[in-house]
Amino acid sequence: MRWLYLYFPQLYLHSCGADPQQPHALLAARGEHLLDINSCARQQGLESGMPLATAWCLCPTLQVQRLQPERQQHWLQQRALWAYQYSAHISLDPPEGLWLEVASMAKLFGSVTQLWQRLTDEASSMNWLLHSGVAATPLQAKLAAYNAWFSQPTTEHDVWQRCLQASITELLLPDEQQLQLQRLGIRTLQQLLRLPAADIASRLSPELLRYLQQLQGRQTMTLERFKPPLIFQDEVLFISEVEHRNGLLFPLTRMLASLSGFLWQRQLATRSVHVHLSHRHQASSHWPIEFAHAEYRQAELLFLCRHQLEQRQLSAPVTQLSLRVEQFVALHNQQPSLHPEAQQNADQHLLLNRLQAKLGPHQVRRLHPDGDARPEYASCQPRQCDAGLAPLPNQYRRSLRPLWLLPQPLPCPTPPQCEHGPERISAGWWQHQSVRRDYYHAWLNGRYAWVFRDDQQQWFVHGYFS
Amino acid sequence: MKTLQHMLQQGQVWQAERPSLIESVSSGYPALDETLPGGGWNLGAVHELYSHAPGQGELSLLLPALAQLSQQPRWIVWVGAPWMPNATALAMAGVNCERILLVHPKDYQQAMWSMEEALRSGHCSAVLGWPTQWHKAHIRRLQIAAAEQQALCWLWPQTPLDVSGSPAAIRLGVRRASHQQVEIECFKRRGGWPLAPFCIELPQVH
Repeated sequence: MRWLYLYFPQLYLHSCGADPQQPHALLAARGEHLLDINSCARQQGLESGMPLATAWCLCPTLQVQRLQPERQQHWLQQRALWAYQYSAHISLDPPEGLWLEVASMAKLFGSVTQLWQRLTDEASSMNWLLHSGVAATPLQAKLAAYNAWFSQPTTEHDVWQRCLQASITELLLPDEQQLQLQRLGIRTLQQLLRLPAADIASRLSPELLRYLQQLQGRQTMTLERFKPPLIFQDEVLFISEVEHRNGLLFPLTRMLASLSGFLWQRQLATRSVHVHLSHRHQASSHWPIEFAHAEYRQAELLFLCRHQLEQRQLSAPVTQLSLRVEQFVALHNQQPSLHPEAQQNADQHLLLNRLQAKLGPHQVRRLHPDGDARPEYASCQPRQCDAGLAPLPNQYRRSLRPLWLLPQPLPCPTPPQCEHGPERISAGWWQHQSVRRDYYHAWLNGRYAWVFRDDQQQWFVHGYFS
Repeated sequence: MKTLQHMLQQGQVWQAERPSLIESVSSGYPALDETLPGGGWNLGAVHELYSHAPGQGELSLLLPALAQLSQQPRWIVWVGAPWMPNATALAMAGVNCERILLVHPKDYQQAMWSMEEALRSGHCSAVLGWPTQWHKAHIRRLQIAAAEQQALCWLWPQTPLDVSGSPAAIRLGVRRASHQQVEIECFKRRGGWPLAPFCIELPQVH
């Protein structure tokens, strides 16, 4: 096994959208001391662990976020979901780390180095701060990542040699433990390992012994596997409120990219996306976005969402944007096919989706011949476009029908001369919408029309031959 | 000389002794096929059809071609149809209604967007449109989109014929002469002169 440790420094500050050009700090959930600061704040002389009052004295423009543990957990899970495309064996290491088992994936990606390269490239394209370490044991990988020892994966031997050189402060031990070791005159790991194991357990602490054994790989570390939930949720917090819907587009693009990845890994597609917008002084608004056909491609998802957003107005400035997908459909019939006709069939849905996204679902219909004898019901326009249309009824009455039907029959004067008639249509009594009509063909205002006379001897025009 | 060669290769010059290079779908009416360049409705071209009101036999003219096109696994998109097309009549004429997509745009902009998007997507064999306005630049966009994807486009502009010319490849006037006769006047056709009105016999009126 080989372990890749991903360390996301300032995960919280970065995820909540803090501007890297401005000093930002994260305040502990309880108490008034700084838990984390961004690099801009560090340049102003701030340090993590500093009391808030001191920090504000040093840097009056400092902006502070209070830590919300559940949010921190959520963001780490989001990173784990992203990392899931590189390995199926992932463990969370709260608050800011992830373990990935990568030896099993080396064959797929070519080598561990290539996997690492792709992963870091993708992370840097999203402007994420990321330090990573690859080693034979989880703890070595973690040390390598936290201390940023290597700029790229190296051999197990090199990592272990570097570990041996590591000073006590680099080992991520609790503060009192470090102090204890310093008092013993131990400066490096190598010196620590020279002590007999029994002495470490009895004179220092059993935890330290376990730590050392796990570090050397003599004892396996139990890591809980991360199981991705079958629900997609992503959210963005805006520190400064977004007042125009175009401002939502940029974070949405990134969210849809991760949705697309999520769907592709699971071979799923979706037909509805739920966008929730939180406002400061109002109840949050909910924008469901529905597609005529299940979709998973990022470009298409973005196109569809963008056009749906264009038709909506923000009721108030937005403080938080979240995207949630709960319903999925299998992708098996959406796979690109080698057979050109099947491929074309799949591509057809693209146009339908696009038209519906731009114009609205009610403005794009299909034509569906129905067996109903009443002409106005015989060609219904179903909105649901995905259901396969029923096959045509075979027995058509071999009588002529006009190509144009009026949406509603319109009253008209008695036609001067009727042809081809009468053809009686009497139906609908089972729905209390009984019709009894005698249909004729007649010339009306220079057009050849389909007219009928109802029970009350009233004349109506119902369609035109064209 | 080079330019002429080039134009000849592109089929932009009509030559009596040479069969045309234009790809087309037979209209199903020999008299009409003879007048249209390429022997039918031209693929990748916009056809403008003018009639003073719908119901002049303009759909019956298309039915054989529509029946043929609807056998392809591609959409036939109707944008802004004046009334509701009757599925039963279409099915009786052999049109596969599963391929038909009806778009009801709210305004002219939406109609043009839908037509162009449909033509450009390559998933349409034909687009039928009833635009409420007529602008040369927009027709040109449609013409380019249709040419790119070799799709057919029929337009019934709801405006009078603009005699200053159009980017459309073919412009016809359609008028019902009698019960089963449609009078057609050719205002413009690529590679030929305009024609005097002539009549076409419809075998069956729908």
